[in-house]
Amino acid sequence: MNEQESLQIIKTMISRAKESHHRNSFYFILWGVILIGAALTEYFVAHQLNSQFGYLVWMVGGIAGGIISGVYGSRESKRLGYEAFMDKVYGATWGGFGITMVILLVCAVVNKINPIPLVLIITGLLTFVSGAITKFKPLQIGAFVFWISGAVAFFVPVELQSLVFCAAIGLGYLLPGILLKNNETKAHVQSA
Amino acid sequence: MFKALDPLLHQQLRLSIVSLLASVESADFNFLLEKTEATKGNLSVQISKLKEAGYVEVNKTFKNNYPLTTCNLTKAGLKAFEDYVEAIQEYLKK
Repeated sequence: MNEQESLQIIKTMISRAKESHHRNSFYFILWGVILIGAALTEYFVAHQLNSQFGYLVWMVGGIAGGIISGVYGSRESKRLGYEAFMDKVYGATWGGFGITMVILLVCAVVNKINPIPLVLIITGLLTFVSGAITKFKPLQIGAFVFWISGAVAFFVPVELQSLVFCAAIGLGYLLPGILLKNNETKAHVQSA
Repeated sequence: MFKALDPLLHQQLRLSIVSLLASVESADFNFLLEKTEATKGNLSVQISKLKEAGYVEVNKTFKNNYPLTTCNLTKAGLKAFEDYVEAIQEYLKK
């Protein structure tokens, strides 16, 4: 084996290691659908049925989303057979976001504070970091949608905040998630 | 004066394994098998040699009741790989 052949082996293996892609778009689409569904259901329950139990839909959606994400993540890890350096960063970022949300939502409900503006602003941070890790601009633009929506939500009546939330999730999460899915499909076809 | 090439890495399959492991945090046996296109026996032998040299760490666990072998590069392994790449580049410049 000469030096040229050695270098070729190194290049080939590094490029093969990059052939398998994580499909992170699944999480954005899943949580986009769950959060929009929960916000619209809560809006309907609170304003059309005049019930105080609309918040329960967040709990049900959160638990269902957590279980589906966990099962999907485990299957993905088995399918790929490796863990990339960035997966740890990504996992820690999303894990930290999950803990932040649980603390924020529990404290907000106990103190009867509407958490939507804060949730939007913190989600902006997560989306911005996710966009930087995946090097995907639409997610970083989505982060600005969250930050602006969060600021707007502070100044609109409570009954309209759910609608601001839906619009922010749709534009900042679901739309970039669908664009990311298209990119992942293209990358998969090219590497096949 | 050229640096001597590490004889442990200057072998096709071992270099392939180390190059793959340098690109990820950790990888399982099947991933290495698929990417290197080696046979199971040969891959096991070469991983054992890298492990003995302290270049690779091998972890045997269970996932969903199935045995799972994962490998990752040690600090010594990464340093050896970097030195090897540097030496190769020097040879190619001559």
